[in-house]
Amino acid sequence: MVDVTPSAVDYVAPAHEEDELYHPHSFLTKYIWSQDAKIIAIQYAGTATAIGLVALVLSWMMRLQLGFPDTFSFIAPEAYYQFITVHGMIMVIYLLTALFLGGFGNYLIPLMVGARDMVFPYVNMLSYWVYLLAVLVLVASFFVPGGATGAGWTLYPPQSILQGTPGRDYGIILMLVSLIIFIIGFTMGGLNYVVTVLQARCKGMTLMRLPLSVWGIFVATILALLAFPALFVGCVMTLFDRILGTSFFMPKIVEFGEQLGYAGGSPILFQHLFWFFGHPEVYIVALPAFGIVSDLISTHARKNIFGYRMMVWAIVAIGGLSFVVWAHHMYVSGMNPYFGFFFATTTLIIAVPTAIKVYNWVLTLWRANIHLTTPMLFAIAFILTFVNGGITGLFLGNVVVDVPLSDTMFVVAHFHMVMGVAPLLVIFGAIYHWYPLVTGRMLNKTFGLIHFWVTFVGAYLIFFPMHYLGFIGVPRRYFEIKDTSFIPDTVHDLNMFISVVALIVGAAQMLFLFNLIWSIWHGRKAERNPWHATTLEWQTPEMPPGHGNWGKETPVVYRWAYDYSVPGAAQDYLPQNMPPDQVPHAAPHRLQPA
Amino acid sequence: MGILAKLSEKPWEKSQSERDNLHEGGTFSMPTAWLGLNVLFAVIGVLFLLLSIAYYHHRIIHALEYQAAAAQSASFLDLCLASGTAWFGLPKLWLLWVNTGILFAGSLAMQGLQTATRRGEAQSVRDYLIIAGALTSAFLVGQILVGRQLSALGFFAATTPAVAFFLIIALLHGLHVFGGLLPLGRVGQRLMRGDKVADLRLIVELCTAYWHFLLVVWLLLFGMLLLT
Repeated sequence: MVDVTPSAVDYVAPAHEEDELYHPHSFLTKYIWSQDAKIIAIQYAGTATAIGLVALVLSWMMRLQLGFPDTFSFIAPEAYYQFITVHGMIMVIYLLTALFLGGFGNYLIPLMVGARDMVFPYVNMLSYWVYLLAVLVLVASFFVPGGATGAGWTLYPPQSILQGTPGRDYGIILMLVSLIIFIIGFTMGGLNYVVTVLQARCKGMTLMRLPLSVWGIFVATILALLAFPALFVGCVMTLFDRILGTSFFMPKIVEFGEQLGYAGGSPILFQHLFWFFGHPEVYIVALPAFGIVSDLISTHARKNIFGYRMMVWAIVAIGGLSFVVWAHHMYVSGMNPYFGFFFATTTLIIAVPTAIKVYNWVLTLWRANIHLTTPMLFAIAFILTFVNGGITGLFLGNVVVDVPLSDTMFVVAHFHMVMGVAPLLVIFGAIYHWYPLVTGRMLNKTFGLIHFWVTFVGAYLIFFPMHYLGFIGVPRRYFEIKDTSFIPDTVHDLNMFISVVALIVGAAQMLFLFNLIWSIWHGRKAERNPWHATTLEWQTPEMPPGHGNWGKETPVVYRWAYDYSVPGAAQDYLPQNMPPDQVPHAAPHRLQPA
Repeated sequence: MGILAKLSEKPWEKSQSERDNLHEGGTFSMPTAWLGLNVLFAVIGVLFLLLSIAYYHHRIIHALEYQAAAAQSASFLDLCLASGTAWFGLPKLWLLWVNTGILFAGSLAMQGLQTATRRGEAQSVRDYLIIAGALTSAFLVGQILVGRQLSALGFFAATTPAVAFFLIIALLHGLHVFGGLLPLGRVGQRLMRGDKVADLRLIVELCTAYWHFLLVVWLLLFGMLLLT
């Protein structure tokens, strides 16, 4: 790596020079086929939200079945498995990954690093349209004969491509094709995010002056670029097995009494490929959340983030370690016990940088001037939820504890807390925080508070009891339990309770969506930089930022991203682009005579 | 400055802040497009590396199964062979060598194109562009013909693991080669539009590097398939 100070390198062409900026001239090129990262971000966010709503409805269907079995005739066992599968895939890939990287990445990176746009805007535009195509292919799988695949979101072969699994004929093909398309689209976007952070920063913006949001998205993108090829390879090979009859993952197998033509394939190989992608995927979602929540906490607590360097190191360390823990998802696959020991150890090690981050968030809050705004409430809720979900992860990371808990509702509770609810809380907090920047209006606070409390409390009412269900052995992925000897009747009552709460929490999201749309026209007009934040995205000449972000001149940065409550300064925040000689100083403090 | 030193900076300190204020913004002293291409190389490299690992995984499993079957009885081995669980290497097809030669020649033509572009020789640029495009297209056609030959010889992907891996590797490599033809076509389009040769230098250099990269990838994968 080269330190690009004038003494080290003659000249590095900034990617945000005026002559490289794309200028749209028509409505179509400005808002539809747009190459402006901000518009692309909104397109990503809109599509991810739309498909996320489908996932929400699917989760309702699942909860209706679990809470009230034998009640809804339209939920057949096959449909239930399809709901599980597509819900999981949408949430992990098409919602969380797309929203954090495609949505927040596109909106925040150029603004926060002081660039005019992404470095390859045309490729960036393509990235969104390819993503949309992937979503449409996924949705199409519901409408083909046999419907969407019901193989579970992990899509493990042989089961996923054998008769008897819902969607075996076309659904699985469309799912695999959709994932392949998604990965191609993501690679286009990911190249932009990485290169923009590395090369298009404005003057004075060193790597260590970057806000942690950018660090989180940057490292998550690198993880995704290196991890998605594993899913890509797995999908292509499964597609070959399904369509051409190859045996990459298919062993010699009998199906409904008939010997199939497959032989010699390795189902475990698919699991390795899947989880070599799958575990970094957890951090592809978590790292942007870590970064964003750091900025929310610092801004709304009016205090610099505690241990900035350690926060950066932790993001990098977690990113690196995330590639050597994947097989803790496979303890029951029959792999060598020594591998289990290795992966349990690495799993425990990754808890160290993660814990550092949690301590630093808490220490940032310690004796800070905490403003309990809606974004801050979501940020604090994230810390609590992430700690809860993380601690159950320590259970499951250990082989001896994982084996009995494997495939129980405990696992469902764990991953929903740690990579479902926790990142979603950050997304909500981030939307409440940056909505004024995007629209120029504030979201309605009352609606926001209702949304927060129902979501936060509701999530705990849903997922805390699930840990208990898992402990007593209730299995996951079962259409119905009925009269099983080791499952007490109280399980049914608890399932009913969870389902009712899930419906209420889902309804609260409708209120949030209503707030998002209603506030565009009726929300209170936002003042410039309403949260008094230091980072560059709030310092643009216009709000919302115009095309090219910065008017005639790109900004010059003079300080790091966390100059809050600086002693001697007249205001409790110093924007990154405020020159040292323009810092307003507080009046000298006079000591009162005793 | 190394990455560790950079990550050790304390941006809140005044002395560090004064140094940071002189920073011009970039991280690497290379054009943005080059960095983008290098990142793409890393992604494609991981893709083919994972395919290679999957290939060796299968190869080892098959070798173990083969040994186990051979140790038991000849009749079980026969059964094993008949059911396709034993390993058949990739058949030695002369067309594969021809295709490899064509890809190599295509890479040389791209090198010529790059040299001609740097020298500003418009006619040579056109000639090399046509040669490189034709050779690359010939490679892709040749790979399709190899697939047909394998099928005609009775080596079906469904029963022959090495052929299955060859097909998947050839397909993904071929798609990447085809993807390279798109920017190369763009170079041709800009030439026909009358753009100056000097303006094409960057895109030609990027294409050339991409061609060389895919040649190296192919040589490694082809070697792996042949030697095992």
